[in-house]
Amino acid sequence: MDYHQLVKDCLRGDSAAQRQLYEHFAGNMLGVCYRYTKSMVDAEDVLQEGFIMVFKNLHQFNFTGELGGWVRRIMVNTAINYLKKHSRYQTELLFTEGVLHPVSDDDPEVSLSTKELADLIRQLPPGYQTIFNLHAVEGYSHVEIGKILGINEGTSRSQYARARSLLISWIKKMSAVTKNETYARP
Amino acid sequence: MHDPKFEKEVQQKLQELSFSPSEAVWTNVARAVNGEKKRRIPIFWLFLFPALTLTGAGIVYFSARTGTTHKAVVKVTHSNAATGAITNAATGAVTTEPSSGTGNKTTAPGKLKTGHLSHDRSITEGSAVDAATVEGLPQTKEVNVAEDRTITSDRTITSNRTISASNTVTAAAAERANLPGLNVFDHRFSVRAARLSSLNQTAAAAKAPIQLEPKHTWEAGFAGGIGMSSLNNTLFQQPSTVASDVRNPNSATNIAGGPKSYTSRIQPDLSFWAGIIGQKPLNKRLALSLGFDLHYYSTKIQIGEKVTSPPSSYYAQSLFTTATPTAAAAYPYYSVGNNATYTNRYYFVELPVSVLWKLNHSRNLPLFLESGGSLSYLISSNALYYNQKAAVFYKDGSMTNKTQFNLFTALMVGLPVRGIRLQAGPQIQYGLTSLQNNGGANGQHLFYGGLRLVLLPGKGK
Repeated sequence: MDYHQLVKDCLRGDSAAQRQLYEHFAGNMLGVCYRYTKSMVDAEDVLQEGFIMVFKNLHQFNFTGELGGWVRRIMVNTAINYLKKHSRYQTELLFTEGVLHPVSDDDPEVSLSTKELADLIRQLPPGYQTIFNLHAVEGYSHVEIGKILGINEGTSRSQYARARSLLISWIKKMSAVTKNETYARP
Repeated sequence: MHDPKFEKEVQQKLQELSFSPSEAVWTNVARAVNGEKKRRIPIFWLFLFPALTLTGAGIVYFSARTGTTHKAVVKVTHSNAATGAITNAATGAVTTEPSSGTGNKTTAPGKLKTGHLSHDRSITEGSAVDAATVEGLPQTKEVNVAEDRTITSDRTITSNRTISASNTVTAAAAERANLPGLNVFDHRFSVRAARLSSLNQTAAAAKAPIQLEPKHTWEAGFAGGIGMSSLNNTLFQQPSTVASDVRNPNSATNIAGGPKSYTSRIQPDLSFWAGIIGQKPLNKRLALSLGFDLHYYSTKIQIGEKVTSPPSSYYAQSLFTTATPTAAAAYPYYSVGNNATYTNRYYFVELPVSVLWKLNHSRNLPLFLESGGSLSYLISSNALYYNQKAAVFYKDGSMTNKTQFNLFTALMVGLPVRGIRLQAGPQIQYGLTSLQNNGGANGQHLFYGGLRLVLLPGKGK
């Protein structure tokens, strides 16, 4: 796909081009939004707000990076703003300064499907969920996460370690259940 | 150091995570992004109709006021003893000559060269008298109106031709005619001439500009029509289904199952248009026509129930109904069914350009063949489109090609009706551009068939 031309057409106000850009990224971006929220309804809300931001700020895209990456960053920022804005997420996003929790060296094999893994991440408390997504999936450093969420780096590390530990335990449990089910089959 | 094997694996898996968002998301995004444009439409409508009305009224008013510039020339001849002469080639002025005696045939020879006709007679306006039908006039016409000249009262004569008094009339005959004034008209033109208050003195028939060459000037009028419109695959073939959302049919994100089929037919419905038109004769048979009009098209489809709010459990419904609370602004949607008939309405502004060809030489019932094209722009529509994934109808302005190019042809007959020219006849119009911007080879094109009416003030040339 010729992103240069597509962006130019979108900036010209061509609704067909806007639709094409939306169609191209909407599926994956809804996946991103889905990981940060607790329901598909909220995920679609974030997607909607995110794409409005994309089209309103498209003139700032200077083609130095990938368009997909740029759209993704906007979606993540929109998702975090959404979480901060809505009360049902706000209370659980209050990060408490805790004792630094060491990251375990446990690296279990993830045998779950993409959807199952995403659903497990969504079952984490919102604070854990957000930090895990930002660090493990988006690749932000704890310093960057601290700036984004307005917390210090140590809190981010601690929360991430707890989230990781919790998630791994769930993955192990689910994997064990899956294995047992497999062995139980005649 | 910790090896983020787990993180890499999670990252890799979650890159594949993808869902198909509901249509409501795009609807709201498009509305938010292009919202400003849509808000201009009501303002446009508010001003367009008064502007058209004022323009039309202006055309009629000024056409009536300038109706005295017609192509004719008056040749005035008197055989009355007291007849004066229209003459004076050298000065271009009209002088009154003394009578030369009864029965003498007096003519007013001379040439008028861009001169000025002046006389002290009052001008009678408005009443048109055909010289040939004036009672009591002898065969030798008192007034001979030559074609292709113009007389306008209270104007100067701009003529390079000779006005000669070659035909004669007796004073007695003129008196019998009891002419309050000498108002002479070619039957094709509403020419006002000057009145002669007394036949003892001959006066110029008019003080008016005389145009000798027929001028091909623009004429303005109204045009309109009424008929039926439809959406056709080709010129006369109607599609079997409504316009569907066929975007990205191979998308891997279609989690609501395969496309659902739907076979509602599009039914033709009322269409009408109105606007202003300008015509410029190119020669005796051809005329160029330009216009500006508003065209309303409509079609009908069968729909099911109206959905005005999101269902409680979106999982139980198709994906399309998993609208977000904020997306609820995009409701209502309509399910498939035969519960109601929905009218898809399209409002276009059109700029038609055409050539009018006069097929015969009849002056009473001229036949015209008009063919041309028009560029049109969709200013408003409430059309529903069909979403194959979720099997629902929904509104989506982005689905439409707003700019359309159409071809049209009409066969019309000219009907002279009390000072105006009425052209009426059947017309068909076909949109070359697909109405759906992703229609591809199976695009649906606007079709209009109906009556075309053109009204031009004046009796024409």
